[in-house]
Amino acid sequence: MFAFLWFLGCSKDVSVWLFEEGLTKDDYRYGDLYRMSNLSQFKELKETCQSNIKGEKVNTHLVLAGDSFTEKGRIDSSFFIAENYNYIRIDEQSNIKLDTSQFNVLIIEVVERHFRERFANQWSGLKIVQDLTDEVPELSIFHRLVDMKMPYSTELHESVLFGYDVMMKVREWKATLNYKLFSRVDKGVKLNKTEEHLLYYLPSKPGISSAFDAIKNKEIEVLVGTVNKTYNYYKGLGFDKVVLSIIPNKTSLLGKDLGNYNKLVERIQNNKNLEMPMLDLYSPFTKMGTAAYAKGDTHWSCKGQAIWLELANLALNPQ
Amino acid sequence: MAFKPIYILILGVTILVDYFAAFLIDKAEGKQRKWWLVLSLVANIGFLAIFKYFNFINQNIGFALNLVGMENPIPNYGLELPIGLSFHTFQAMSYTIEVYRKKQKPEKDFIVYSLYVMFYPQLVAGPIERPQNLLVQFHTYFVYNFENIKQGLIRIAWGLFKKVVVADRLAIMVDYCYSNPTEHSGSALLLATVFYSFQIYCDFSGYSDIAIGCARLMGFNLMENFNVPYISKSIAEFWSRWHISLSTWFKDYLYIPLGGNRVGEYRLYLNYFIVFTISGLWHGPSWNFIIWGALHGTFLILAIYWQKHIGFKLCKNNFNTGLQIAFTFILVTLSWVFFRAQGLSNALTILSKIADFNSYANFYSPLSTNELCFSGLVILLLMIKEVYVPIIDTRKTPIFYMKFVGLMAISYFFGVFTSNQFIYFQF
Repeated sequence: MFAFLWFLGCSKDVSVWLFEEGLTKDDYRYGDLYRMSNLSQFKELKETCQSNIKGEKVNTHLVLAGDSFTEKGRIDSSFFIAENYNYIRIDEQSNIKLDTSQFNVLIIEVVERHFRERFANQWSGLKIVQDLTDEVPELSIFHRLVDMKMPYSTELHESVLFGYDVMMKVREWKATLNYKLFSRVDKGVKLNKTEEHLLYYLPSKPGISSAFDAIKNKEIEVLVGTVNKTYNYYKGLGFDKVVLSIIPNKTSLLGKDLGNYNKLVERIQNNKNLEMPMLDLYSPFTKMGTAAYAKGDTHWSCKGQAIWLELANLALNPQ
Repeated sequence: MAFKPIYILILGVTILVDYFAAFLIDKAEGKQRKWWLVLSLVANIGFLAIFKYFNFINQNIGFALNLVGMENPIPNYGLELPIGLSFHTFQAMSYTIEVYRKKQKPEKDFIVYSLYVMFYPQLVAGPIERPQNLLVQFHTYFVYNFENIKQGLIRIAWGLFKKVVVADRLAIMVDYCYSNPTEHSGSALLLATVFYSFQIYCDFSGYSDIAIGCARLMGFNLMENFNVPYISKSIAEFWSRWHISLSTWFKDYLYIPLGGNRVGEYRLYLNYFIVFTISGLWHGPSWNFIIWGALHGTFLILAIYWQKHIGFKLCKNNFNTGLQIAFTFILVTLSWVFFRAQGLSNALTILSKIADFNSYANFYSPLSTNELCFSGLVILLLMIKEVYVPIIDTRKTPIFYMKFVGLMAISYFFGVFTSNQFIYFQF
């Protein structure tokens, strides 16, 4: 039985099918931080956010280059007033065709901890093409069934085998035991000093920047420069509006007692040389505090998402 | 170290070469026997040289050429070390050498011989088996035996406990201190070094327990690789208890052909030095490993010299035995610094800080006080178990289930599940 389950977990396609058939559960359903830490006090079922868009859509084509905050499953076209909507991954190369009869808006959404990586150079993950053809090569059946990667990742197996509530309970016991006896939590998370908030806490590593990395003003200027280059590039390619959105890290707002926060978002947002308009999420999220983020997750709550959507939809209006 | 499916070709080539070489050795006479053996050894050592040592040798040639103002025209190349290469090549070499020595008949069955080289429980990191022990078992008809299952499972559970509860927990402190030794106090580095002694022991012996347990499930008996090495009263005794399969391999196939102890005094010292230095080199293409091996050789030479020329012996009592064990442990632990440190300069920094009591202030550990105490307690219990209960009794089945489930539960609840692979996989 376990061997069969192990085999099923080798394939992403099979794991997804098992989930869609209701045979396995989404082990991120209580949040990514909860999944890492298994601390029961941060266990809260993730909300499914509803769209409150009513009325007619506007003649806008929105291209949203985003990450896990705006991915499929969280946000779709029903959340925007734009008639035409495309979502692309900010960390992948994608092709888009622009319709000049529409108001074309590009929103580049990136979480604070990935901002320095994404804008170390001009971002050019989006290519404008005249003709969209599906060039994705099809994997063979064998590869689709068993798309094993080396070094071998156990994440799929953990999801398939241990995603049930019963197993999560056992994991909670382990987490509580280690926390009470040894003050130990998963190395990817940290509790703030008052132990109210569960945060994603990593020392600086390539691609992911800690909120407590010291960032010199010179680097801020360089980052603003590449943001501006990105802005001018896509404006030149035909977008009527190009907007940047940096989602503040949960740690930056709720974990300031853990170190010296580098204020990356504010410093970019308030830089006098910045040409690209930005959605200011930092101010409302600072005011909202805990309510802006899901309890056991690094991502925003429905309330936090609603604020972002309000700002994004304002940017989509052609008038 | 890498698992790449294409590297199975290396395994395939060495199996084919040694399979046929054994027959050629067996049929030949006189010098021809030696030539076939040399061919087999060159093939095996050749793979090691290419995948494991080429870049190291090339870099050192480059360094030497730079000293005389020349450039090394040969570039390094980026081949990764195939997983288990060091282990299965040594196991294969032991087969052809034993055939040459007429202590083993060539294995006629190609599948059985292939299985001898590729036997999965010990393919990756040993124990390095001898054909007289393992090959004969592949010709035995096994009957299902529940005792084997029980013994196998309990061995696996004990190995898992050593790895995740002890080794990977101690690794937190070791990795923290050894990653940047200049930032840590002498006291933290000393504790990390002591922890490393137990980390590497639990990591490697834990792996060996799992390997031996897996084989036992199927009814096979692999050789023991460890015998409570940290109760050794001398370096010589340490090497009869630590990584036994490797130390006996070097004794039988390098030390004895060099003359063993049937040579003059200074030739004996040279033999020991050569064997231990090469043993260090086997662990990895790095001056750190060579120095580690050479240190052990030096300790052994000094011990023999002392015995021969000074001859002072402690009288046998518990206190003196304790002193000898402690002294040996200190020597072994301090030499582990070279084994673990990233580079020679870091190793020397660590040793100098350990020796400098003025640097002992400002002790900081990533483990809480409770966890440090827990680590100490677990090490103590582990050593008591290894000395007084070397084999866990599984004769009574209900008690076996309690022990097995208990060990697995403790491993789960107290285990540190990081992405730390087994240390000896990198060799």
